[in-house]
Amino acid sequence: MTVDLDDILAMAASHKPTVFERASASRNTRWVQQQYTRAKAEGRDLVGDVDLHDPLRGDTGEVRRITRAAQLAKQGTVRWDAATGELTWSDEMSLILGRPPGAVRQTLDALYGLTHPDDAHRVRQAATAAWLGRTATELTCRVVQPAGITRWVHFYIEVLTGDGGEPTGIIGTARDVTELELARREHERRARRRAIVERASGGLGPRDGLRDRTAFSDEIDRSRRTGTGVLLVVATEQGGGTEPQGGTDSERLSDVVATFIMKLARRNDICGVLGPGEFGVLMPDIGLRPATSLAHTIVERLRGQLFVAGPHGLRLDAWGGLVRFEAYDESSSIDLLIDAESAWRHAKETGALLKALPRPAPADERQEAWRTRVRAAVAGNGFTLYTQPILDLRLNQITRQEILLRTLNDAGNPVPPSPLLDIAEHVDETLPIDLWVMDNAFELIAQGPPTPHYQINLSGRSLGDPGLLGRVQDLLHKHDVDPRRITFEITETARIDNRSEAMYFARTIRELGCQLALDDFGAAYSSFIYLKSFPIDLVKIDGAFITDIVNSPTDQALVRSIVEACQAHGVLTAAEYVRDAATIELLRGFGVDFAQGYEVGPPMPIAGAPASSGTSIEFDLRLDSPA
Amino acid sequence: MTVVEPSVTVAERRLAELDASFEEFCRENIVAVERFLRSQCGDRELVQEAVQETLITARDKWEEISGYEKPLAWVYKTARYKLMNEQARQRREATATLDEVPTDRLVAPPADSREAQEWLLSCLRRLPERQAAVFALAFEGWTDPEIARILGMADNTVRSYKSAARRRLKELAEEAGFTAPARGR
Repeated sequence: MTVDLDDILAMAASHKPTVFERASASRNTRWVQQQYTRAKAEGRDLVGDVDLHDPLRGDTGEVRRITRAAQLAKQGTVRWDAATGELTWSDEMSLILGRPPGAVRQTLDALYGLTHPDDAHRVRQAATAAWLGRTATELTCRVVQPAGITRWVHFYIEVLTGDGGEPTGIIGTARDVTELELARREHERRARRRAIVERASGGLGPRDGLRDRTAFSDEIDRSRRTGTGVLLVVATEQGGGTEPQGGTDSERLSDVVATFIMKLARRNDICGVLGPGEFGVLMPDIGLRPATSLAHTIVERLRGQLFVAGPHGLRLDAWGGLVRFEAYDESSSIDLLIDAESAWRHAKETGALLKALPRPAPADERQEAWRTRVRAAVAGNGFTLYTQPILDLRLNQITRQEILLRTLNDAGNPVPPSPLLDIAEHVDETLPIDLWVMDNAFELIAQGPPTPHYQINLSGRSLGDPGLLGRVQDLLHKHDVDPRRITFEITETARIDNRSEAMYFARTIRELGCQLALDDFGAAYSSFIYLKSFPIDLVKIDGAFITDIVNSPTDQALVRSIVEACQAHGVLTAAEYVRDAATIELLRGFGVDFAQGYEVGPPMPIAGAPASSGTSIEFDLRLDSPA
Repeated sequence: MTVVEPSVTVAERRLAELDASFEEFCRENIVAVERFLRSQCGDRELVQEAVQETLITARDKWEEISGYEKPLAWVYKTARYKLMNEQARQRREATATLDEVPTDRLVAPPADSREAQEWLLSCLRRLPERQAAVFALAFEGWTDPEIARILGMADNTVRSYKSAARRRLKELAEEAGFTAPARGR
């Protein structure tokens, strides 16, 4: 059976009071009588400002009726007479407009003049439409009071009718709704904000679920501020020496192992995935001994467990490194992570299950140990280079390649370098890596196909090194590379610590013909101030704004505004993490100049790039897919 | 000593008559007045308060009001102003209460006349307040001039709002899945 509005209205109209409703009516009537008797006995005024006219018999025309109603509701009225073209408004209306009654000559133009310029057109339209359409309407607009004070005012607009049925004018009833309007806007804003924040936190409660490396670092810092604890880092490797080839299986395995560890940890411990095969457990308020015992259990159980990920069952080798920290220790979260990572490496090298540090390593010791590792990696050619194509969205052609660094692990397989770079930044040892990349990249560029342009990463840390400029010039000269084919992508702008040196490098390198780009724009420490004060040519918009941009109006708003700001400053824009054709089309529409990502092309090894020298250097800490 | 007696009896009888006629009026109409206000406001407590205050005033001036063309018209008008003033006062005190306007949706069509009325009220509350008031009065059978006088608006406005409210109600009915089949209406 189908029911429509008329059926429901007919049904509602047929309603006869139920027994319950009749009882309630009698009860409420008695209550009214009682209240009346009591109020009378107390001598209360029961009329007050209530209007005692008979509304039906006492009516003296529309204008009087409407102005009287406005007075009762403490609202203002404005009336326009079609015959004379005159406009008049009430004293209450004057107050709404912020003018003493009689202070402004009452004309149509005066009224529009008091309306906010952005709303005046809308008000005129609404009034005209009501008049021409002989219909009632309402609208909310702003009026500007003296000294620029802005108030929101709601208007009912009605058409008046003469005795002969002809329209004779317009009357508006107005009230100040500023508080209401502000509350409504605030309510809308909060709802929008709530939706964004919920999406960003991914539904993670403060103490549950798995965290990535960044979120896990934040938890370490929070824990450090509030008390003591132990940080455990567990590293796993698949037995038999086969390397995971990336993709869903290794991600799934990572999830399975993390969940396994989480179940073994205490309820308030915080777990995180730090990289491929690397997991963190943060244990607040625990002594070294019970923590070591728990860590032992975790590593042993990991080794004993048969994991099933995808079609294969597999066993894992595992090691643990842990470090105890005190409240307000000098060591930062990255220091503690480095120490725990050093500890599991030590355990692995010495054939142990676990290594426990009773306190963080001294800063200089930590720094020296990792500097040695970085230098060994550089000296031993523990790296290789990949390239990834960049699409020029105006030409729809690949016109550039980004040179990407890969570290080589034990088995000589290339893995993302970001964990090593993080640490290199931290121990102030980026320059040797950057120079290694340049030396090898320039050589390949000189030999390779004539792609017009290459983009090479350069740490913000190296930028302030007074020796950098001379070394770059030497390398360009050595390989005979045209500087105009090179753009340097500056990463980690937060770590540009020698501003004047960095600025000098930037100016000079551009005079040579090289260009400068800012990487990961919009995330972390990059800011609009660089557009204003640093001589950059290109901004690479952070991938976090691009991956889901097709479905996200908020990401679209952010990217649009970045592009607009860049265009105004004469800076080109590139988008990373572009994964489908729809994203490319959207970015093109926004005026983005370049696109990079799997949809354009994945990172590929460069033929002739240096391969593993067999030196045992492992930096396979983090899965940080390049794009 | 019996001289004053008859006049006292007349006055007393008049008072008793007024009391009885008010009581009857109140019992007959109090539910309808509440329903009228509920077409514009979802807060039942606020509605009840406005209705009771209005009726207490009506009782006080019943001798006069009972002589009106339709006393109920005055009650509707006055109760609506009381409600509007109370709403404005509440908003000034706590704008936060504005937050949740429940959007009641029915999944099944109303099963009886009471449910149909409740559905109608919940829909009317989603309309602009004046349109809801116009429709609620027209639905009870008040004429256009009466509605204009009760609500204090132009005659043209009543016609305009009546059709606007109907259009919007039809949309809401369709949103809820109540659509007219092709019956050749």
